Amino acid sequence: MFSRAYKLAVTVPPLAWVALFLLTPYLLMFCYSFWSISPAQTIVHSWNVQNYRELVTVSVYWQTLLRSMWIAARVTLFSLLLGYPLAYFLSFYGGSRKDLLYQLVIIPLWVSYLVRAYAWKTILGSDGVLNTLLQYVHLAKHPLEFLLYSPFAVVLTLTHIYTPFTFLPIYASLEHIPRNLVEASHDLGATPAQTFWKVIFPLSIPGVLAGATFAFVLSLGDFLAPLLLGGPSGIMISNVVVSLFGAAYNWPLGAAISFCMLVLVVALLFVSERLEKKWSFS
Amino acid sequence: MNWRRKGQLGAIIAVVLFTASCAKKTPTLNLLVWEGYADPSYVKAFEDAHHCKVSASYMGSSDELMAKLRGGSAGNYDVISPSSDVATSVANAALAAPLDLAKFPAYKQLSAQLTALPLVRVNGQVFGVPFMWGPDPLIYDTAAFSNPPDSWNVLWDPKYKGKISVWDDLSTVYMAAQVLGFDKPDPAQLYNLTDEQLDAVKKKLLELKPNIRKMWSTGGELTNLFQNHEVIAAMGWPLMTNQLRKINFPVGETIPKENTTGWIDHLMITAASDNKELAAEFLEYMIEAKTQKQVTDVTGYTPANPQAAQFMTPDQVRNLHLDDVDAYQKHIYFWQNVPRRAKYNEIWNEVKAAQ
Amino acid sequence: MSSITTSATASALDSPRDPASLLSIRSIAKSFGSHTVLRNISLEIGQAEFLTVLGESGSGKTTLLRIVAGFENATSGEVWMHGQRLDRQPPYKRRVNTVFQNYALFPHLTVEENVAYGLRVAKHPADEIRTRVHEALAKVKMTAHAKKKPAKISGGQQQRVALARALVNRPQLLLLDEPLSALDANLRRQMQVELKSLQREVGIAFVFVTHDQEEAMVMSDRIALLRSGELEQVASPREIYSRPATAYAAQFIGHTNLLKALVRGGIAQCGSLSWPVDLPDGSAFFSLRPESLRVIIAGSPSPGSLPLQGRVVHQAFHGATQLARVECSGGFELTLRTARELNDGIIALEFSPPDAIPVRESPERL
Repeated sequence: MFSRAYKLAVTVPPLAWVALFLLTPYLLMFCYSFWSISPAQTIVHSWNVQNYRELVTVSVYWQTLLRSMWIAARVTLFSLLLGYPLAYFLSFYGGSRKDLLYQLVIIPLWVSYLVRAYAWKTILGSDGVLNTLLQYVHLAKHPLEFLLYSPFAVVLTLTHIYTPFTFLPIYASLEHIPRNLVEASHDLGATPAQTFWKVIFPLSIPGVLAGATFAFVLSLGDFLAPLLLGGPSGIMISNVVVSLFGAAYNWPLGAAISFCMLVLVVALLFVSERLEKKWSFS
Repeated sequence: MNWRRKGQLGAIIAVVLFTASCAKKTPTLNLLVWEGYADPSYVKAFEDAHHCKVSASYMGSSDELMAKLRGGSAGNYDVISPSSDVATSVANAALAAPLDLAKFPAYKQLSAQLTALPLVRVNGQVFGVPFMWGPDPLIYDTAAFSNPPDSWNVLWDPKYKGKISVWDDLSTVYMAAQVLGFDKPDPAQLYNLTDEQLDAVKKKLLELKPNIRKMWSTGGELTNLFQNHEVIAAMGWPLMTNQLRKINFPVGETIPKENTTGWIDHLMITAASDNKELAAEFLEYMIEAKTQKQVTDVTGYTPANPQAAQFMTPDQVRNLHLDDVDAYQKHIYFWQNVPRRAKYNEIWNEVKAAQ
Repeated sequence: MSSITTSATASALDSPRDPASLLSIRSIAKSFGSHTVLRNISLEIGQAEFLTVLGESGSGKTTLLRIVAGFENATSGEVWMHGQRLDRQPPYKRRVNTVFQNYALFPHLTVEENVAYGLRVAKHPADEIRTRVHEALAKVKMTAHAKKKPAKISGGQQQRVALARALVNRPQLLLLDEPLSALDANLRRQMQVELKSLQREVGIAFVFVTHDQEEAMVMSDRIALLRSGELEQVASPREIYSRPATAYAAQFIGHTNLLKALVRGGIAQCGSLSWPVDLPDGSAFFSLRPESLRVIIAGSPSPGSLPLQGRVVHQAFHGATQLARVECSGGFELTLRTARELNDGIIALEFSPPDAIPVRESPERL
């Protein structure tokens, strides 16, 4: 048995860490969101809900939030459409190359986000690899400009970046499915397609939910992809937050938006957790 | 924890403390400045002469500088280079330390027109030294224009849909106001626009959006946009023109007939700096004529110290308009403090977020 | 039960086709890479027969079952059912169902949905599915648990659901892969009886894989004894016990004493013992079951039996009987089965020479 002192010694530091570096900043942010900014650009510590009212009334903010969610939803969908077949193939048909292929999927995660974003710039740009190729084979007369500095580029890049995040939990959940269930299904007369939809897919739902949550939450809060690859209209909610905390020095409003996002994300995690539980059987 | 563990921990702490104390022996001067203001070509000599290390962070915009200073990171930097738009705010907010001009022999050589401005004077104290100045010119790809453009209106030309770039900064708001003629009769009006004028500016900028390929936020980014043929015209800094010329890119630069905004960058020592002595040495070094010439070589900006001209070729002197500063400055409205900065920012954010 | 003559050694092509045969396994071989798991297996399984494939772990019994089910492809050989090639069809087209070792119930479906699975994928009408599922669950006494998820019921109950799930499809052949190995001893004996009576009731063929010889003896019509990928003997439990074909079969099925004797001129010689045999000259193995040895309590041995003496070295209590190990004067040990505990010391024994069954020596494999 562990002594009381030992238990305290192992539990207190992480709790203190979380309290100090996670809860305290959140609490501060929450306070900021009820303060305001004076015309002389100083923060006034008077409590009011003006910032939250502004969120609802000034269309820029909620429209950008909605647009960010729409971008995140598309990224989630495409990441799942890419990540699931990849995970499925690897888990069921990887054979002896499984480990190697798994590593190949994971390796991009070790490459800096910025490097990958810049790589897309060189691929999608007007002078980029793709446009050069399209013109070379006479599929396009002029460089296709929607490829870069556009919502397309943002969705593409985020999909590329977050596909491993959807792949991993889906792969884990597929690996978790006892193979004799698949055999049992075939044995009972189900075709491979029926087996997939009636056995494999339902049992991989926890992985799909976890992957979708990763992709959605991470891309919702992304600001680098829109900054680097988004067009003049491609800003997302995090860019607004960055500009409010940075350029505009309007911390209270930035905090209010951040807090709304936090609530949104926590609600999302809560729902996804509940659904995952509902769909996991052990 | 047994004695051996304690011993190990003690050893680790000792090593950390020792390394930390070693690090203290080489003083480090931390800069938060515009790109191009910490080039090794002149910083290296200062480092060698003073046995110190100069470590530079670059600021993307005046607002970023203000956000960092006000956000509590002022203590991380010793020297800053606020432009004329926020220099007054920095001085007013006591974020910078007052300067003892006796310590700056080169100060007397600086252009009197610049030192005479009230920008960095508060209660009779001087908080910064003018360092470099220049316009926000129209930069263009000469290969794309048979006739060199002479008006900001070229940016709005439907012919150039998706082919231009502007700075992700309030300067773009000033520029649009200028195009709308709000600088007449008083150029200072650009920095104090009324709500109606701001609405008109917003409308004008929304009309510009279809033409914008990308808003640039660092100098390197705009250089890249030109280089990769993503854009053919933009509002930029002379720095980008200089960089593009160095790689033999066919670049042109002009001050359009509507005139342009410009800036005077000041060097200041932060109030929170632990290295004020060394920082003062650095400021003096940076405004000496010889250093000023070197900074010009890197940035293409005009030096605040006219004596730098003696180290330059006649061509360079002409290009920088050092031979006729007064006439040149008539076309440049130097940035000033914007009392309603939050409102300007809101307008700018709305423009950026609009579809 | 239909009695089928099975030749384990005859080649597949010239083996007589028995009209009562349901499944015909012909010269099946299987290798994983360089590792050979099955060698030249031929086996006929009759309608409604309960055949047990018995073997130690690694003998290839599960692989054989998986080839019939379609989860593995044989390296060579054929599987026929009702005059049709079975081994060319994917598993979902075979009218064969399997009860898996760990039941393989679908964890996300209820008991009822599990049982209905096969009928649903075959797109049977909904009311038919309901009736048949109900019947199947009633047959295995699981109606009360119909709405539960598999994780909520016990191992024995899962076993029944797995049976119902397979049987509801009315297969002609049910494959069972060590279905009782996960149950504890009591439940296992109970399920052995239930399984056997269920098989009689539904009247279809069962191919039952186990490593437990007792289980095989209790349940099977016939036992196919598999050793290192080859069939050792295929016969009814009684026959395999009383007339084991090989030394391995004799030792694996029940207890036995294996005597190595030298035959010369129709006389077998083992230590001090000798008895007449009808075998050619050379060395030979004989299986002598422990119950064939009798203790001579008083007087002289029975006429025609062979007397011998030995010292009791160990006795083990087995309920109704005892197994005693006796060290004989010839320098070999014998095990005998007695009704009562023996006194320590020297005892006199006897056996009838016909009870010593000549068996083939099993060649070393692998």
